[in-house]
Amino acid sequence: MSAPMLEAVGVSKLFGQVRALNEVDLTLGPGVTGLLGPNGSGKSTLLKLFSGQLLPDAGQVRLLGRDPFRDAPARRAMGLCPEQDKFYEELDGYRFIEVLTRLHGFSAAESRDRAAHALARVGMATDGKKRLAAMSRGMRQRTKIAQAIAHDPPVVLLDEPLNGADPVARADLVKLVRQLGDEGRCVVVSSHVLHEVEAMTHQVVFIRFGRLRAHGDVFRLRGLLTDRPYRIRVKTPDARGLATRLLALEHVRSVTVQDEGSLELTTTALEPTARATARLAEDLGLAVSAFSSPDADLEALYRYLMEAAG
Amino acid sequence: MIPGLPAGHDARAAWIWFGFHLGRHLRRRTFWLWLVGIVGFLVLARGLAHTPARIVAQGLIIQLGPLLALFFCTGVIRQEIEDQTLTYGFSRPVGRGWLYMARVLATAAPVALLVLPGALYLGLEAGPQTAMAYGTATILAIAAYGGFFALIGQVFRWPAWFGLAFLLFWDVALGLVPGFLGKMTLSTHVRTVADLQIRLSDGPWMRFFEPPSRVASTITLLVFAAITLWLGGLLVRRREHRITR
Repeated sequence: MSAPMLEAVGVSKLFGQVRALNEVDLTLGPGVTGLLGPNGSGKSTLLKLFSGQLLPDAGQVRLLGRDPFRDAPARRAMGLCPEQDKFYEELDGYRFIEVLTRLHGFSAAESRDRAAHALARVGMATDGKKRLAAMSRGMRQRTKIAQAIAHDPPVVLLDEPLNGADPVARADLVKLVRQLGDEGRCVVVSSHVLHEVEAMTHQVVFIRFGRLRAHGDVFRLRGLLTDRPYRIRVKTPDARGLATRLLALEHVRSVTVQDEGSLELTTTALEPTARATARLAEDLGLAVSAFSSPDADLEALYRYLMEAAG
Repeated sequence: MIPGLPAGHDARAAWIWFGFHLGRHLRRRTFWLWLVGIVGFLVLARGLAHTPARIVAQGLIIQLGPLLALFFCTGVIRQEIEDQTLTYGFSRPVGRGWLYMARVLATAAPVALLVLPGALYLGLEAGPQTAMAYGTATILAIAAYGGFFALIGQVFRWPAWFGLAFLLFWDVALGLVPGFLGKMTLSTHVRTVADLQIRLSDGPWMRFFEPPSRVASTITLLVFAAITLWLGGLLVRRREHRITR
């Protein structure tokens, strides 16, 4: 059986008296995983442990079954986009990536090719010729991602990769991250921007106060929060008529008619209720002009998990 | 599965890292300002003040070289932590000890480039043998002091002050003491290799002063440089380097 791509077993990390991570157990495989949590929750510490920059005080961290801190060759499998916006400023993007790629054992010519390919992939084929000091924040961010993927690593760790990127660049980077995941890499993305993480993946890890609060698919996790029923808003011409029929459904807890044209119901099961609502509307010959659930997304899940964690 | 690395990868990567950082140092304005300053010092000392070449060589090899090594080498890792660039090298599949050694040598090499031409010029005034002695002493001195200052740069909070105290109170002051204590200083060995020994007087106490042989001093400086580099590499390999925002 092959080793997990990334694994933390009972990992704790202390900074003085502060426990940055507390007995974290986590296994990650191919695909994109969003690493979420408020500032100071331990996200960056976890990424630094996975990238071999820090040593755990307790437990073990494994990168494809090997110790990324002590086993230098193991870091061949990993590409890291660090959080800080710092570079060897006097270099241009191509030279910066070429030098770093050579440290992976590639020849100068191959490193140059890889640098060019990686920069093209992040949309920096032309701007990569600029000196890093002269690049905009978004260009620097993209260059930082390019240096993380130039050596074609199976594990990519991206710490706040969308910081400073303009909306167009953000959309491109979201697409790139998804592609990296689709290629079978294990991509871990730490971010505060929930809707962008949601656009990249439905696999998430929530950390708060150094503890792993939840890990898995957003919708499955949301379904586990049974004390937080889903709200569903429906716009239909005869809201009152539909509301009467909805109350009889198994999972529906309450229905509120907001005006003649819309209603809001709460249910413990989103999908069965959604299907039943559509069926009822069809039976009644009602057109449904809008159907939405404001708390079935990542943002709602994040809010609920953070509230639950205190 | 993790892709393999070619044989001798660490050494090759260290060589690349050395070249990269050497290039960065040589492009810095500080390097060129020091070069201008040293040329100015030589013109002033030899051309205008007509100070004997032997005295100027002492100033250059025994005093200025170690002082430059102190200023350049104590911040080898610290500077990268402050610049927050350390992550780029240390997240690569290269032994961190190798990267450290490459970094120290890339920092010490510009110091050698600053001091060596002047030392060779002063030595050539006396002949090729003296030039050879000055050149060898310069390289060994910068390797030994550079390795030592890079090491204390990792150990002490205020390495520049510690290094200055070491230079002034241990190395220079104790280097003037004849006998065993004098041999405990780097400056004594550098002086021996360069043939720039001091004779304070010809008094009877000088019979206690037995200068080390040139071979012994050469080996001492080489071993000292190697040990300090190795120890520094060991520290870097085992230690976490925290980059904070």
